[in-house]
Amino acid sequence: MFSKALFKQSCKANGTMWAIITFMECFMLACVMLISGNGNISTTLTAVGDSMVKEQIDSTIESRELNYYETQLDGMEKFDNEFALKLSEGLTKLDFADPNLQKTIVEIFTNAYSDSVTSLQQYILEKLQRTDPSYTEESVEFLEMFGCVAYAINPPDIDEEDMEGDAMPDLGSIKGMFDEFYTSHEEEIPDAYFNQNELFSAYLTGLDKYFASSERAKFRKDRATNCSAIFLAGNLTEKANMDKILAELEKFDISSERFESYGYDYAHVKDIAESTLVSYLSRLDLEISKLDPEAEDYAAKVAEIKTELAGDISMNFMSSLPADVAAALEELAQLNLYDLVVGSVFFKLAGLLLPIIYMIMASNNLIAGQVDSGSMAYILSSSTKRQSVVFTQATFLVVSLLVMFMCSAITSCVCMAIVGEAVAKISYQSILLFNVGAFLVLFALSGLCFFTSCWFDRSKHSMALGGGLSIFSLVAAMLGLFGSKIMPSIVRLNALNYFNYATIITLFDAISITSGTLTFVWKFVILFVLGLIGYIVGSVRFIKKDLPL
Amino acid sequence: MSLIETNGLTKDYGYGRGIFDIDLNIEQGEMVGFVGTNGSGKTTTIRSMLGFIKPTSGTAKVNGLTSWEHSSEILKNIGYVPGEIAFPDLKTGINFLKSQAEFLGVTDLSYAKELIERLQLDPRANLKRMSKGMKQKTALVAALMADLPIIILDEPTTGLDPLMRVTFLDILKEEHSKGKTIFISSHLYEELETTCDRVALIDSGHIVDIADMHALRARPEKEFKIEFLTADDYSRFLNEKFTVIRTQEQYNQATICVNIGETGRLLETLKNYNVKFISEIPYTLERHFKDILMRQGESKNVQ
Repeated sequence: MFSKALFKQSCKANGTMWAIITFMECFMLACVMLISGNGNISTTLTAVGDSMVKEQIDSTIESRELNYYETQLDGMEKFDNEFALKLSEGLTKLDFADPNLQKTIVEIFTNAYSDSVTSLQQYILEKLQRTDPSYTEESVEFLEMFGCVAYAINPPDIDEEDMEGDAMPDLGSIKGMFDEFYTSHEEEIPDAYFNQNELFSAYLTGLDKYFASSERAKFRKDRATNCSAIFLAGNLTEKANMDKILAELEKFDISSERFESYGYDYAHVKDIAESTLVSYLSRLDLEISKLDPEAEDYAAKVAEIKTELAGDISMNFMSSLPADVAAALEELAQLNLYDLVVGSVFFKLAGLLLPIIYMIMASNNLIAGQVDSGSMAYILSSSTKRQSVVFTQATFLVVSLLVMFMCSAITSCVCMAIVGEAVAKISYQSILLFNVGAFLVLFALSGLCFFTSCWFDRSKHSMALGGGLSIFSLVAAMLGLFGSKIMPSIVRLNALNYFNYATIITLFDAISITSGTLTFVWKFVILFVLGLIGYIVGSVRFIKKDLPL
Repeated sequence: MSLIETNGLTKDYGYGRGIFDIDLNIEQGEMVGFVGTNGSGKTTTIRSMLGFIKPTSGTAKVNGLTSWEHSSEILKNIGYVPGEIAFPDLKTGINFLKSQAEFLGVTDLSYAKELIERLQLDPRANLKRMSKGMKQKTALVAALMADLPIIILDEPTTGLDPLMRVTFLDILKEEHSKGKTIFISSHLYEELETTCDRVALIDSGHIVDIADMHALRARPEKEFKIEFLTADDYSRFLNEKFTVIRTQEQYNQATICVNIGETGRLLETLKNYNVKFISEIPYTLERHFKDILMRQGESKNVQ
């Protein structure tokens, strides 16, 4: 069955090619393993993760800022209207003969103020409940929304002392409830929300008119512009909230040191918030200026533009990152890049190229090439049986591939020892299984090439079909990689995943090997069987066919 | 029983190509030539004999064993020089010969060395850089070195210079004299004419004729061409009682056919003439086959 002389001849004929390819393969493998093992890979990974997280935080700050701004503006308008209503209500009942007139006025004012606050609370809660009925007064979201309006209004903290005098207390001089919030961040305390002189003169001309005036509107707008950024920055950098963010990020392996390195301090956050608001407002103005104020649906269109520009602003940053980003981050944190590079990129793709080239050339040389040139005549005329020719050549091909991957296995183990298991994060077992997988892929493809080599008398035909299909498998696997699950979802091209179904290299399940499941075993068996079929059918054909010798 | 025999051997490649009903018997110790134009089916016949291709019908037998079924057994006794000289992917001639010796189980290389010397072959040369002639010689050495009883050669002399061709044929004759059976194909008649016992002619896949070279050489009739100095002599000679087969009056030339027994009378007659030259026109194999093919063509035309 086995012809020693032929085996020797095949060794001599293909030995040099084998040695060159094997050396290059091992060299390439060593480069990949050693270079990607020196730590650069995790730096890259961290950088990718960082920029993703930063971008996400930035965009959250941006949408939050717009949310705050709109909430404040809306809330203040509501508050003003409510206040105007309550105040005029109170003032109509005023009896000018009352000896405690001043005190009553203050009382009316104070009551109107607190009543307005209550209805503002109600208003905001209703607004929230319209998006999700499960919100209550206890909800963090509600407190946040209400807080942002309250901080902008900064109601005066009127106590007994202020009420003692007969005269109406000077609102400008009374401490605001949230003065400390502003001072602690070295911000100017905003002016009192109501100026009593203005109120007084407004009372004479008509409170409604005053609150609906464009001056008042401008006041509210400026107030919201100023306060929303301060509130956002102050709120976000508050320790409790910071802790929440950190706890959230910790899930994705982002430590507090790493988060600190992003530089989200008060000034930075405020900066982002302010610039966002500036660009939002200018764009909003521009878009609104394009509309026809006379049109019937003017208001609806303005609202549409606002939502469009602000995007989805109802989401709460504190409760979670957007789901897809969270998933991407999680994936990134779990991704072992070394694994990916060595297993799925090298052993499954890049590292297959050279052995495939060797295999295509060798399988062609072993049978079809010799039949095509006619040199097979010397072997057969020496009374070597066709069975033993085909058996010996098949043995040579398989053994040469086996030894090639033994060399690559030894190289990979040496490199693992140099890199260290801690850095590489893969076990010796997986790395050896990678080698086995790569060998089995080559075995299956060599079965195909050996078959075409036996089938065709012309080496160009054998090369075209066997070699072409082998290279196709490899290229399909390369394209498929970009659509496969191991690619982080942000760079994955799902359409390319179809290529994975068009190549037998898919049966080399690198993911299963690294994750420790046993799915790869039956896939390996399929590869082996496919290769074996190729060898057997090819051999039978060679034994039976006419040889042009 | 013949050593090599084919019975109705047919390999039909379609479109009228292939070989049809080849009946050939080659006896032990015979040297048989096989001529035909390119593409007439010589190589196909040889491949069938060696068992490389499966006949469509009919059989080829060597030593009583059918070639296709027992290819490896029959090849044990055959040294083969393929028509297309392509060597295995080895470095030098020596490497090739050594590897071939291993295949053939030859341990004693002295005969190979002798052949190499006689053929003036430098086997150290790189196989890829060898000239056609060198390759041919190397192939011959490879086929002969195992000293096998049957030698089959497919157009072995193409590419050899005339001197080397002679050496080559000498070696074959020598092998023949040792009692080996030789089957050699060629498209050159001359080289088979002098060496072979019998020559088969194949045309378009059919055996047209098998000529016995001994009978051909020992033909009882010979043809002579005679040119006379004067037109008088020429016309006078035509009246002598010889079979004239061709005349060329403008040159005063006459071609006559005489029996071997008549040769004396011819010379006697010519004493009385002024003869410019006299030459024998040899009856070559080429002419023999051409005559046959012509006759066949005529009969075909008649049909």
